Amino acid sequence: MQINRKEFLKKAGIAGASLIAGGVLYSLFKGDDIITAVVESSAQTKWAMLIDVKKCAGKPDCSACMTACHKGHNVPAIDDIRREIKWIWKADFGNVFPEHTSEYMDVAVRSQKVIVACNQCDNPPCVRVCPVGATWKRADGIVMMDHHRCIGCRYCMAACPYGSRSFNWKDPRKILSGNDIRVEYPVRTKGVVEKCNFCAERIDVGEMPLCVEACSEGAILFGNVADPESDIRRALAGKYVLRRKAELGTNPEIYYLV
Amino acid sequence: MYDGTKIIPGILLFMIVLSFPVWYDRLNGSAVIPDPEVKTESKYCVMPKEYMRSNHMVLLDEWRDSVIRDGDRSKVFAGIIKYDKSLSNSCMKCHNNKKNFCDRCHERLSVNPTCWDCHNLPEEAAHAN
Repeated sequence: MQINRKEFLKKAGIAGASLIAGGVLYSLFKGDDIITAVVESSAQTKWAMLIDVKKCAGKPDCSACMTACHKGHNVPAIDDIRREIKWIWKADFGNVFPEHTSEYMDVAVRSQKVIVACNQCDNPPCVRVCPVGATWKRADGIVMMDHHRCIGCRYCMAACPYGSRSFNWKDPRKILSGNDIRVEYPVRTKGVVEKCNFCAERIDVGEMPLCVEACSEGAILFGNVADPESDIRRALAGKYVLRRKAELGTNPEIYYLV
Repeated sequence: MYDGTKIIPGILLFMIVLSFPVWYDRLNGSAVIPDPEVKTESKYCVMPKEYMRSNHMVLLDEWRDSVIRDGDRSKVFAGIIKYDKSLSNSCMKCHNNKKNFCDRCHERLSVNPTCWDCHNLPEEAAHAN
């Protein structure tokens, strides 16, 4: 078959154009399965916690919730406050609620211990700043961490007004001794940020968070605030409750009964 | 030929070095095809063996995304058994010896997955290592 220059160029042009068009169509229809968008609340479920500070103060030496959480999630105990890792811990009332403290408040009252953890904000500043989508808000309001994606930039730690996030400066396996590691739950690796996840792994299978289960005083009430019939909604309805730094507009989902 | 005494041995030496993979393999016998050890009572895996051999990492990625990103902790059915979508809590319950199962292939293929930086080995293997 004879083919002249003009014919050849024509055919080559058509072949090239159809290849490119095919590639473009393929990539259009293939789509992108990486989820980066923040899932907006569908208001079917929104998890929240109500902490009764008075009940908690009745047992000042108790640390059942913290032990249960840190053991259940393989959180290493580090004494150095610059390196420590905390999911749930105790802080002075004056530091937790500085806006509700006056200089004439009794030292005993001001230094009363309050349980604090990640507030699972409705408008989480940590999510806004995460450059890789490693932290995001689930439809049920839980601010999750995907440690697979965390690059350890610590923007979220800078953004969080509650200091609820901790950075792994060391491999936690080196601190947790072998037998202390709960096999069912992964540890973290050096260079990622971690925090309380409202026990998402337990809620998803219909169980209560570890801290709620561990509290013998019933000081922590956990439930769905999107459901007007839930226990937590009834408890919140007629009480004066505090939220940490609510004026910042983060809408914390941990409520305090004082 | 100028400098033939240097050039010819030089070429020979070059050929020996070039053919290193061939004669090294002949001398040491052909490479062993890894034989991952499966020690399990269960006869059911979530996918056929052939699929798992080539695509287990894809499956694990899909599980990871559905569990963590979508919060979908539904079970996976395999034969008569229900499995959690979990490396530590499902896969490694059956394939409980990382050294004789995971590492045999990974080492031969020189891949270094970071799964076990965080995910734990089953208890017996964890104590052995």
